[in-house]
Amino acid sequence: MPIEVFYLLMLFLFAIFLFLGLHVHSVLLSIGIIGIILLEGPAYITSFLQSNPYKQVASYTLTTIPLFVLMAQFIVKSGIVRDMYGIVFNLSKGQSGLLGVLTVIIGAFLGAVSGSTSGSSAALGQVAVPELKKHGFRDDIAGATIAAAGSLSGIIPPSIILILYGVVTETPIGTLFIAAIIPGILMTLVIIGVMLFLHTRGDQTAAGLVEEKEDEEEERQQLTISRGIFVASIGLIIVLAIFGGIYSGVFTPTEAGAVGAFIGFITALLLGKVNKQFFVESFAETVKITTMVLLIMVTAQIFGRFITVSQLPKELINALGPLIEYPVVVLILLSLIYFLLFMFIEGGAVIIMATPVLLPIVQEMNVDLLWFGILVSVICTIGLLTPPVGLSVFAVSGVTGIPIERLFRQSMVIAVVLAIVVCGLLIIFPSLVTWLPSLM
Amino acid sequence: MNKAYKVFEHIKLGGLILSGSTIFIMMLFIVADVILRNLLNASLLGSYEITQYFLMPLAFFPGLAFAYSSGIMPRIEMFVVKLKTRHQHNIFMMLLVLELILFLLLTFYGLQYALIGTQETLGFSMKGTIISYYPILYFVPLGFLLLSIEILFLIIKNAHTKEPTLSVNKNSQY
Amino acid sequence: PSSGGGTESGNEDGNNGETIVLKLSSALSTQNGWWAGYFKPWMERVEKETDGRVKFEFYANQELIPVNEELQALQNGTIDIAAPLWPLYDPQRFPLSEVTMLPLLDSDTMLATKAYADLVESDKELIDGKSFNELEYQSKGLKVFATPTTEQYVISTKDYPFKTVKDFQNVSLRSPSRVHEIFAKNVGINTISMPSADMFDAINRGAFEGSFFSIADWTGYGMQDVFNYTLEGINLGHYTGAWAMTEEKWNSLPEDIQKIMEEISYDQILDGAQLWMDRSEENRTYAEDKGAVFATIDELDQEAKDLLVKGVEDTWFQWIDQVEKNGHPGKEMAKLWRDLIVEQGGTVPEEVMNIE
Ligand code: NA
Ligand code: NA
Repeated sequence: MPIEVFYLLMLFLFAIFLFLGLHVHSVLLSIGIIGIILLEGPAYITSFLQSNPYKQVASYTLTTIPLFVLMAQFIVKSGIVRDMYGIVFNLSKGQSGLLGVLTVIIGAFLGAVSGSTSGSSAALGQVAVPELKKHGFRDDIAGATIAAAGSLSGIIPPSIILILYGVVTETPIGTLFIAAIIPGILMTLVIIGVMLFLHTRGDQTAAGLVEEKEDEEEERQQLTISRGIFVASIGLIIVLAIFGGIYSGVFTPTEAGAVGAFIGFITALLLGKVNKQFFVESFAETVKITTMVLLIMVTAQIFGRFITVSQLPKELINALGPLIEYPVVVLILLSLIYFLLFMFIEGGAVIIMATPVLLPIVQEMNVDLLWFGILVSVICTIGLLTPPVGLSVFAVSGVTGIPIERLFRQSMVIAVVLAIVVCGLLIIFPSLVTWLPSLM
Repeated sequence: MNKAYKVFEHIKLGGLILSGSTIFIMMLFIVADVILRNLLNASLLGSYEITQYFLMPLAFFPGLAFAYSSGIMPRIEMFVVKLKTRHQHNIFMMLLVLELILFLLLTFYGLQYALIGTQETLGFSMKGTIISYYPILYFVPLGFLLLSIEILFLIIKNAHTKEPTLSVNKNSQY
Repeated sequence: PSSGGGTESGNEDGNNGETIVLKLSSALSTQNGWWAGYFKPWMERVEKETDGRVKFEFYANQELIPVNEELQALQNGTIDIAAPLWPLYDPQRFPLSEVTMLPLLDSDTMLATKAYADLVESDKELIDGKSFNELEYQSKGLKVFATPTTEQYVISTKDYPFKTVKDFQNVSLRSPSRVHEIFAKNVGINTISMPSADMFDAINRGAFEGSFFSIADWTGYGMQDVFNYTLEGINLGHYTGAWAMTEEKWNSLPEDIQKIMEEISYDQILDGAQLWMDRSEENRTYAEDKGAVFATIDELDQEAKDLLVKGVEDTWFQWIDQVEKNGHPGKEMAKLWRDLIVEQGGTVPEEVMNIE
C-alpha cells in the first residue's frame, strides 16, 4: 500500500471513530495502536504500552494540573469568587461584557504564575463559567473564552512550551520568556476583542437566563460594603502571595500550584466552609478533571509514537526542501504544518517531535530561532482551542459539563482570529518579538 | 448484576478517596518542602522524587474508573444523537467493546511492566540512597482493570436495554 | 520486527545485497554534545564507509523511547541501538558504571574519555574472573561501546561565591547524581532535587544558589545566562553513557560491518570529547564577557580547601563501602578507574592513591 493511501486511511478512521462518538482518549489510543501495528507488526506496541502510561504520569511538572484544579475547588467552595464577580458586576452597572474582560485578564495573570495550560483552563472554568453565565453570558461563549484565557499560560511566561523549545533548540530560556511578553499581551487583547464580539452578537435570550436573573437581584442586595472589602482583600492576599512567592524565589511556578491550593484551603478553613462534604466534592471534582486530562495526555503520547514511527513529520520536511529559496512560502507552510500537528497532538509532544526535524530548514533560511520559537508557541497555544484534540477546551468542558462540540464552535472563532491577527502581526513585524530582548 | 455493581461502586469510591487524598497529601508535602527549603536552606523531604515516582501515579490510576463513570471523558455526540435509537444502540455496543479491548490491553501490558519492574527491583536514587518504586507499578494495571470492569458493566447494561447509555446507574452521583 | 520495518526509508540503493536498517533511539536533543559530537557523525561515517549497506533510522529527543526505558526497548526489539543507554540512572541494574562519577582533583574531557574507553575494553578481572564489561553489560546480553564522557562537573552558582567552610554549609545546590549526593553530604552542602526544566527559573529567582554542572553543557539548559560564579580545581566526576545493542542483534551483523562500527566508534569518541572541550571554551568566554567569575579551590581558605579534598577522599571510601555492601566489587572497580585515570595523566588525592 502506498504510504499516502495509508495516511489517508488512518485519517479517515480517526474521523469515523471521533464522529461515531468514541471517547477522545480511545480515538487516540486505538489509532495509535492500529497504526503502529500496521507499520511495524503487533510486537512493536509492547514497549509503548508497557512503560508509557506510568512514565507519562510520573512527572513532577504535571503536579500543576491536580493542584491548580484543587486550588480552584477550594476557592470556589469558599464563595470568594462569586462575591468578587458580584462586586465587579455591581461596579460596572450591570455591564456583563466587563466581567468577560475581567475573566480574560485573570487568565493572563494566571498565565504568569502557571506554566500548565490545562490546569489554568480547568481552574478558571470552574471559577468563572458559572459566574459569567449567571450575569448574562451564553455558556458556550463563556466556556470558549475561558479555554482561550487559560491557554495564555502556554505563552505568557513561565511556560512549559517555551522551556521545551529552549531545551530542544538550545535557545536561552530567559530570552524566550522576555520575548513572549508582547505576543502574550497581544493574544490577551485579541481574545478580549473576540469575546466582546461574540458576546454582544450572542443570543441574549438563551434558555435559562431569565430565571437566573432573579437570583442575581437577590444576591446584589446581599453584597454589603464590608463584605466587599473582605472579599477583595482575601483575593488580593492570594494573588500577592503567589506572585510574590514566585518572583522572590520562595517557590517555583511548578510549586505555585501546591502553595495556591494550600492558601485556598486555609481560606476555606477560616471561613468555616470545611466539612466532610467539602472534601468529598473537592476530591471528586479534582480527580475527575485530573484523570481526564492525564488520560488524554497518556493516549496522545501513544498516538504521537505512531506519528513518530510513521516518519510523517520527516517526510513533510523533506518535501519542503526544494522550496527553501522562498523563505516566506516555507515559513507559512511550516506554520501550517505546526498548526496541523497541534490540532491533533498535545503541544509539548509536537515541540519535541517536530522541532528538531524542522530546525535545519529554519537555520538554513537564517530565520531567528528566538522569533521562530515564539511563533511556534503562539501556534501551540492556539492549537489548544481547536478540534479534534484541544486540551483547554476539554478541560473547560470537563468542569462545566458543556458539550465539547458546542465549545469548539466558539473556540474555533477565537483560534482563527488569533491565528490570522497574532501570527500575521508577528510575521509582518518581527520586532514585536525581538524588541524587548534587545533592550536587555 | 445490580448487586455486583453496588460492590464495584464501593471499590470505585475507594479509588476516588485514594486518588483524592493523594492529591491533598501532595499539596501538603510540596508546601512543607518549600517551607523547609526557605527556613533551613535544604529540601529534606525529597518531595520531588516521592511526588514524581509515588504520588502522581497514585493520584491518577486508582481514580480512573470513577472519573470515567462520571461521564467527564470528552466525546463528540452531536452526530450520533441524530441517528435512530436502534442504530445508536448498536454503535454504542461496538464502541464499548472496542474500549474494553483497549483497556484490557493496557491492563495486560501494565501488569507485564510491573512484573519486569519487580524482577529488576526498579529504584531511584534519593539523597544518596536507592529507593525501590516497583510496588507502585501495580497500580497501573489495577487502574486499567477497574476501568475495564466499568466498561464491562456498561456493555452488560446496554445488552439488556434498548436505550443506549454510558452510565450504569443514573442515580449514582457523588 | 526490529529492523527494516514497513517504512520506505531508501531501501533501494544497496545494490550489493540487502541493506541493513538499524533503528537508533536517543533521549538526547539534537543540539546536545553527545549527539552532535558522537552519535550523529558516527552514523554518517558508518553509512558512508559501509557504502550504504547500513542505514540508520534515528529518533532523538525521546520521541520514540522515554529516557531510561532503552534497555527494555532493546530487549523488546523496538529499537536496535540505544544512543545512549543511561546506566547511571539505573544504579540498581548497573551498580559499577557510577564509578566515573567519583570526584577527582585534575582531569579533562579528553583524558577521561580515553580512560573510559580503556575501562569498557579492559579485561582486568574484578571478581569471579569477570571484567567490568562482562559484569555490567555482557551479563545482560548487551554489546556496548564507550561514548565520550561529559566534561568534568564543577560547582556553578548565581551570585554565590565561596571562600570559607561556612559558605559551603550555607549553600543549596541541585545534585544530578547519587555520587554528588554523597560528596555533598561529606562537605555539608545542602542538596535540592528538581526537574531540569524548572532549574533555570528556580536558580534565576534565587530559590537556591546553583548546581553541580559541566560548563560545556550550560547551553543545553540556558544556564550560560544564569551562572556567574564557578568553582574549579576540584572535579566532581564525568558523566558517562553507553552505545548499546543486544548481543543477539550485534552477532547478526556481518563481521566486516561490526569492525567498521567499532573502529569508527573509538575514533569518533575523541572528536566527541573535543567538541565538549570546544563548547566549554565558548561558554567560558561568553560568561567571562558578561562578568562571570571562574575561581579555583586555591583561592579558598585553607580550611575550606582541606574540607573539599577530604570530601573527595571520603566519597571514594563511602562509595566503595556501599557497592561492596550490595555484593559488588566496589573496591576493585574504584582501583581500576583510578589507575586508568592516572595512566592518562589525571590526579586524585593521596588517600585515594593509597587504596590497595
Ligand atoms: Na505561563
Ligand atoms: Na487542537
